[in-house]
Amino acid sequence: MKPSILTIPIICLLLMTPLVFFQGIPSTTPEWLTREFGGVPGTVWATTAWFVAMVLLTWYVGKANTDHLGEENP
Amino acid sequence: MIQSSIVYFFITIAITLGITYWAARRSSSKEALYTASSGISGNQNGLAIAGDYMSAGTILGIVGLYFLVGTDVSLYFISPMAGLCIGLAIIVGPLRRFGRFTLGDVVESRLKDRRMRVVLGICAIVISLIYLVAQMVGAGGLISIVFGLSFNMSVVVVGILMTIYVAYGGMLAATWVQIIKAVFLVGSVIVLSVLCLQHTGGLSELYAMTTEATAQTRSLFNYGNLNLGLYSAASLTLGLMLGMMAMPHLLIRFFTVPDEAAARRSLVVAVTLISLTMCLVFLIISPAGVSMIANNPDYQDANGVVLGGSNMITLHLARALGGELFFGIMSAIAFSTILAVVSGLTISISSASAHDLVKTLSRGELSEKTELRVFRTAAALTSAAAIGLSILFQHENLTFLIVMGSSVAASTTFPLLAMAIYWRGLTPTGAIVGGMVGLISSVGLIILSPAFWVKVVGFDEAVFPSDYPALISVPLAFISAWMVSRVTSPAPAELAAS
Repeated sequence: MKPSILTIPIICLLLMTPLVFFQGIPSTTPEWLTREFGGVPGTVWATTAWFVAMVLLTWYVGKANTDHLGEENP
Repeated sequence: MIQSSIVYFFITIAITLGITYWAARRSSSKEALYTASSGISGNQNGLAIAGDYMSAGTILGIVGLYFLVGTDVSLYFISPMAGLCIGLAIIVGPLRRFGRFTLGDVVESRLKDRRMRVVLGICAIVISLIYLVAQMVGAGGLISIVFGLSFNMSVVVVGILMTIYVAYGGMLAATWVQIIKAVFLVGSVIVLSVLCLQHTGGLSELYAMTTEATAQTRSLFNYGNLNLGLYSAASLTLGLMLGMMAMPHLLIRFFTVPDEAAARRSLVVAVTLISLTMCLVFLIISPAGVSMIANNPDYQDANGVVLGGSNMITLHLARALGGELFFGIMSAIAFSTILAVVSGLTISISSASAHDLVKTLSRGELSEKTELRVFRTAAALTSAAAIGLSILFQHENLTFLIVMGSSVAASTTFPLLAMAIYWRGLTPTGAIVGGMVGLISSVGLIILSPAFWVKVVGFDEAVFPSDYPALISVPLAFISAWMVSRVTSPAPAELAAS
């Protein structure tokens, strides 16, 4: 199903919000995020997961828009 | 100068000039010079976009910045990725459908007013020039270190080469240089990552080494090292996010493919390559650089500073793990990266100058031959201006220059494109006012910011407390375009009908 024009920008902004808060007000970072998982700091895993989530969303948008090519014409 | 670097330096120049000669024989028309006659496939364009995105500043700069701020560097690559995602959803399709050569085509086709070309042309030139100066400053520093030339000589060499590529090879040459460079860049990042893991014994061992390297690196894995505050963090994110999908030199790449489906496919290919590369750079190469290079006395000067600055960490790492041969290859890739990106930016400025400004101001009475002459002259003038400005701003912070270009793009081309495509109520006057308000407010706030007002001009205190204007300038551009559109007339009916 093709996402509406506003859906994707809103999802992207919502996804970015926690990262903005953690970097703008570091005290809001949850304690568990500062622990290590498999020898790698939690913040590193979290940041990688954030990035991968954004990439997966982009792939989904690319597929959805190509499947419905032309329907988003304003 | 390192012997292997000299050899690869000349091999790189020979290959790129060979591509330009090949492309020049196929680039006699306006279509060929501006958009490679829209004959690039989606996959090829995806590689070229990935190449445009992954500039020397991105690859070398991210590792260098990681050394200073650690995990906080994530804002600089996650925000643009979000921008690419939004761009794929709302901009790319309509852009390819309504545009032919420049962004001015897109907005003029919606608003039926030729003045829009001038506005978009000015915005494209300002944004691309800021970005071009940032790339040239980075290029000058890198080349002077790797190849032993002076800064001024380095930027002159880059300026001359980019003029030749653009004036003769046009978009076809720039695209193929980008494609080849992107393949080598991704390949070398994969090889370097494997070498890092091989050397350390695994990811957890790598992070243990990084954590133990110095007391300073212990804080690298906490958020907040950028000391931004909530406003600046949000504004930086917004500027990088919206600016990414409003960069003229990236957007005109979508005119090089035959149709909308190829345009979308090309961005998906680009995102795949960018994500693979950036994950490796963030997860492996950056911490390896900190643990093996940044605190290693072999790579520090007498003051304990990394030789050539933190941007050189990646190249030092290549030498430490792969020897002189791999160092030479990585240096050549960094050099070709610079050449490819500045060529793309020069095309953006030259096509906006010839097709949007000069052609419109001469009321469209410009033969193709004359327009091509204007394009080539603009390429030479752009090169001269970029050389002069990069010498002037050679001590300016690179990240600040890049964020500045992104913030201006987010405040000008993004509101104009988004509103022109999706809001039928936008009038030509509203669009002009919105674009100008975005341009003046973003540039004005940057001038009044600490990074310019205090560090460049020399005042004690900045008028505007943050270096990042997007959170104010982007809404201002949208609101002013909306308000003026509500009280002004749309384009004449007969023009709209046409």
